[in-house]
Amino acid sequence: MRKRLALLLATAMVVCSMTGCGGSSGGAENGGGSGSSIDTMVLGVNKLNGVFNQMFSTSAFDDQISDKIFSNVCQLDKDGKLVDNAGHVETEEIKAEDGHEQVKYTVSIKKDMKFSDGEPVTIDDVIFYYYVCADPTYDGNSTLSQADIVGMKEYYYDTKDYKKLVKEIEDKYSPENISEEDFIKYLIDTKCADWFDDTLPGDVGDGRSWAEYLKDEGYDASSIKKPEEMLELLAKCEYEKYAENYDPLSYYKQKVIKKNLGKGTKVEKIAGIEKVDDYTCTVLFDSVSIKGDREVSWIPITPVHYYGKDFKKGDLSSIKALNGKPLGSGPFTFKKYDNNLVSLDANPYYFEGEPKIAHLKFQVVNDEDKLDLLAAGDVDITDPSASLEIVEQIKDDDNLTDSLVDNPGYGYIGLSAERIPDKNVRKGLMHLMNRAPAVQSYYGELAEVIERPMTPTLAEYPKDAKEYYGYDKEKAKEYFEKAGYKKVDGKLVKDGKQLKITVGIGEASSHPSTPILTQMANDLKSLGGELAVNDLEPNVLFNKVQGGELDMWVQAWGNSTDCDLTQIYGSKGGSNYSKYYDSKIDDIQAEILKTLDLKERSKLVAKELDMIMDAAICMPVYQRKNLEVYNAMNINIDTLPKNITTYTNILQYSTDIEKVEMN
Amino acid sequence: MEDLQARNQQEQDEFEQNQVIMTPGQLVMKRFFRNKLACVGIGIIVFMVLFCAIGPFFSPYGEYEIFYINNETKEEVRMQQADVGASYMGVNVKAPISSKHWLGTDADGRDVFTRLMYGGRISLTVGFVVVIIELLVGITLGGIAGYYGGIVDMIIMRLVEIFYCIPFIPLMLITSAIMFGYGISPKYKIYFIMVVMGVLYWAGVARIVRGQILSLREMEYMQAAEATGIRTSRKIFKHLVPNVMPMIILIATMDIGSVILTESVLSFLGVGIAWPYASWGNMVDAVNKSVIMKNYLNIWMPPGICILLTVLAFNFIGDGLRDAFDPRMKR
Amino acid sequence: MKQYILKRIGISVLVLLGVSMLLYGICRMVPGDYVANMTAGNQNITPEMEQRMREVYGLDKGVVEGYVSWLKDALRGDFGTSFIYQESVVSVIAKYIGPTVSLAGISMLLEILLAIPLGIIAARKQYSRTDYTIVAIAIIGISLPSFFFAAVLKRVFAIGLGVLPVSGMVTARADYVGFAHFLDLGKHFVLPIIVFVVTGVGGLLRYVRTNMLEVLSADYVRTARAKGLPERKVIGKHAFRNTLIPVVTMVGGMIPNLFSGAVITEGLFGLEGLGNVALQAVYQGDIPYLMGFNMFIALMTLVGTLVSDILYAVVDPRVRYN
Repeated sequence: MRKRLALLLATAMVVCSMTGCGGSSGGAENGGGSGSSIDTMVLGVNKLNGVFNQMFSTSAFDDQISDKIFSNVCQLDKDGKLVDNAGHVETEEIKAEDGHEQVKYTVSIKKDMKFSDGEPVTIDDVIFYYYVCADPTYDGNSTLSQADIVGMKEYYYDTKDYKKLVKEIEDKYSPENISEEDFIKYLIDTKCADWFDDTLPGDVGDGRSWAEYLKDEGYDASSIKKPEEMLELLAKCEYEKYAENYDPLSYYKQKVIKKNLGKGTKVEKIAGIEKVDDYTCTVLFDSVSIKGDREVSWIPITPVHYYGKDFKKGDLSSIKALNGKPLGSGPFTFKKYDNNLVSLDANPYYFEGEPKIAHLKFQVVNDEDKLDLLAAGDVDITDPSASLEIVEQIKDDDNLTDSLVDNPGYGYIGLSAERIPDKNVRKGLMHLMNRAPAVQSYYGELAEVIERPMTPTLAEYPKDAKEYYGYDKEKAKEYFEKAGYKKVDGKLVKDGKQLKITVGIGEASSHPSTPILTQMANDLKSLGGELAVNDLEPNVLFNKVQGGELDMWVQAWGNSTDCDLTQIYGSKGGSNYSKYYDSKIDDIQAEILKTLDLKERSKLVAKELDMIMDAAICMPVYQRKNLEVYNAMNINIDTLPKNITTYTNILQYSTDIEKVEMN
Repeated sequence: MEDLQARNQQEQDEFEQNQVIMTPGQLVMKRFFRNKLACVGIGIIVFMVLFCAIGPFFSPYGEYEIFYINNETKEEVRMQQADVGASYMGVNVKAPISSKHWLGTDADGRDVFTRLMYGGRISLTVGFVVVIIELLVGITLGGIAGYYGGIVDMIIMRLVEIFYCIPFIPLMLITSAIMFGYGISPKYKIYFIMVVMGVLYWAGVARIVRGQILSLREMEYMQAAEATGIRTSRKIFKHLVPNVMPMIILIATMDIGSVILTESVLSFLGVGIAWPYASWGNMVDAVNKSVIMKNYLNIWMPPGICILLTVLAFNFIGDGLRDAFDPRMKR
Repeated sequence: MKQYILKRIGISVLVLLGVSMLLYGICRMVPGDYVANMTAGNQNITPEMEQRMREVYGLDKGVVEGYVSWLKDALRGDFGTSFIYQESVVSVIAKYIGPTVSLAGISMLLEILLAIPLGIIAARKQYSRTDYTIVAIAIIGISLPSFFFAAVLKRVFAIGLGVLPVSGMVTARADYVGFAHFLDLGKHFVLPIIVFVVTGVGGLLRYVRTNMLEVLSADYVRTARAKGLPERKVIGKHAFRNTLIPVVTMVGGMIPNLFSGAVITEGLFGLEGLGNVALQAVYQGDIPYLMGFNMFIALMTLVGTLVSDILYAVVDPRVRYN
């Protein structure tokens, strides 16, 4: 399944952080086209990395271009539901031999389609995509290799009996079974999960040196002079006292797999993927998942005759070599990328008919310049960040029309349950967040304050949810007192320590949540605490959040297109930055994933979101709108798609782009 | 005859009494103040220092205080007031120039004029501190290299070359991240940035000082000093350093200006002074938001003008000093 | 002379080694490991996948181990593959060097052409109105933050008057070829070059002026004047040539600027040059690119100093190296 939405956010944040480091556009007086009709459409896009292949793309903006070159088997409709595009997917629940439920997806593609080089499209081009993304050395953004497809693990781990291998590994290395030796070896090899910094006296992370830390834990490190010896003692200490915080199992799993791969390919095929005929294949999932259909069909058709010539399991370099020269069956074909300009030509073989526009160009532009370029007629369609003034300006210009659609993501303030273990303190902090004025003055009508941590563009979002933690200084004080904090000499202290919270924010100078923090810092100060606000470069912020180095952070999720929150709030979630582990949440999440009925699922989701809110680990702040602006001077507005929504638009999803005409 | 002699003597005395004897320093000052641009520079710097040092005491607002506005009554509310959480409240962003806010409020609803004064404090401090550090390190190492020569010189000069090759921007980005890693409060972040900048900039100073000392060492007066057999420290501090001084003062004035500019560029890249504190650099950064640039001159023009004037002033002073120090310059 | 150059080159190799160690250390400390950046915001990435990606990118190795393997490859001429561009570092540099060098080269040429005559005029008329005007304008230029000046220029000429393009390198809609394409490129370069020249010319101009002042007060100029040479000849033949010596060395020292790229100007005007690419690399933690590019610049810096030292000897026969 494609991860472009998530990527878009990550990239967008990075781009925003350097307003001015992308950008480009054309001659000012050249806009209107001189009399004769125009056959070139210019789209303004953000900085590109030049990887025009969604399997390996490193930026959502590159994907905007790939999307015009490749066609997907299935596509999203205006409500974010999966619909047919170049193909079709059929879902069928079946019983396995042992009685557990499996799901079989039958993926079929239209006949008589051709790639832009004239070669016919067959189902092999779809299966090829599966195999690349399932490759053990695959390093792109697709998560297909994690899908519960029959035979996927065997292929990925490259062993006939994956279960046996895993059992072997688990028997040997699972937390209950692992030997002290192996555990310590793991701790030393990974430097205690990348904690130990190889220096003496070094820094534990809270200002103490390694020796001091060990002393506090009851180990004598006073005589140690060498870092290696210190690491050994540290490993001993961690093993004896904090073993449950470490995960030797994944480490050893990786090791074994790597060793296996070195010995030559043993498993050539993924058992669950079967080719039926030239236009049909089936994919067998071992369990029910609400995401399965997207995983197998919301994918680009990738020509195996072009990309797959030298493809071998375990070596993707020949495919990557073509990243800059894409070829697909989409509406346009790639011509060149130079001078910050991508040029595409209409694909005469496109299955929906050759596009009306002969040439499509993508000009890299600065976000801040977008509107000026539109007004000058240099760019026909682009997406400036929405703000009150920008929308005003568009209204004033007769040539410009815009579409505002909900951004499939939301801004939030996260709290770490690991660093602020006391739920009452977290609740107190939640009550100090004055969200409405900040969001309102930044976005006006272009954003709304949301009450649950999920994007409201999803059908499952509880639209009637009430505010959970209102801005209330008194209540905050109560919670802090409940947590055992007392005001002594003007300071809010517990066990002699002042309440001090470190919060990270990126681009504070132009962030909608900045006033919230300003107010919070002021209120907390008057209560006797301290809020240390760190304005970090967005990439640094990501790292700190992931590394669990912040008590609180201001971030945004670029939501994927489903209601699965296991990665963020599940105990095993890779993005569970709050480190809040609750088996009840895990259970309800597992249930949600298996509930195919929307109504039932919505109820469960609402319940799950309430549980998350009660844990006080995430304060949802706003959900904003995305803007796509069109220049009627050059484009025939009537030929644009009628329903521009989050999931159907020109720039990102090339919806009906073949029908758009120029004046 | 005696009379004549006496008269002559008297005239001589009078002449000597009336003769204005000027020390070299006074000569320099005299030449310096003849330069009109340099005088303008001094005036600007004095004004800026007063404005930033004393100004904040007269401001009723805090550096990072935000203002709310009651959307119904259009009344301004300060952040300490109780009802800021009410639904009719908004943040008073981009307010126009008024008697309450002499330069309006910025995109976060903070008073621009107040921030301009606080920001100047930071910008000027950064300029002075960085230059002091680079001079300390640069003069010491450059002096040692130049005076002792040989292997010491060789090592120090290779170090200088290595420092020349270190890319500045990546290093600043990393510094800013590392500081966070060590839990340094944002309040003190700027001081560390100053230290790093100073340490990075010393190479240029060292190179110039070394060159100067190398050539001074060969001068005859130094050979004479050598011949008298005085102590090394005396040779360095009495005879070499004073002769390098003009050069050092010159570097110092010029560099203060360029450091202030560098600080603004760092702010532009997001690694300058930490939020919510102000510096002219991070205030002028607003010029890159096209909406602010077009519609809110009051937000970005004042800090821009302050930077321009201050750097200009330091440059004028530097130019004036150079011309004044050089004894070959007549007039 | 030959021996001197050889010795200098030998030392440069040592310096380069030192620089590469420092750089690698710094690069590994760059905030934002590439894998973390790439996966940030993606809710479906599991820790296992991250670990595997780190291995693919060689980020699981320690700093020392990583440096040694980098050095080994670099000595064989292999600077690795850029993480972001998924292309070899050398070809990424080759791809983006064009705009950077032409921009910096043209600007440098203009700076020299402006600075030398203006500096000489200012020096000849020291303390006159002309002198004040030239110096004041030159210094105003170097007293402006470049992003500030660029933004104002863009506002006035591109958005306000509409006579020049806002940003970019070519006019997107037109498919110019040949000379028309060249002109189109030129038009897009006007504003960036103005920014470069205005913010850069001051330093050189001041340098020329100071040196000229020094030369003008030298004895041989007085002699030339005393023997009744026309002023034109005094300046052109005696003073000017001697002013050139320090100027030439300064220009030699500017060589690395040709390649290092201007992060801010390139960014604001949407030019795809090396400075812009390097900034992205820092932000995203593209270690192979950062290493390759910065080593290239370090090399150029060393070459620059070497060239300026040699030039010094060429233009000034009194200088001897031993």
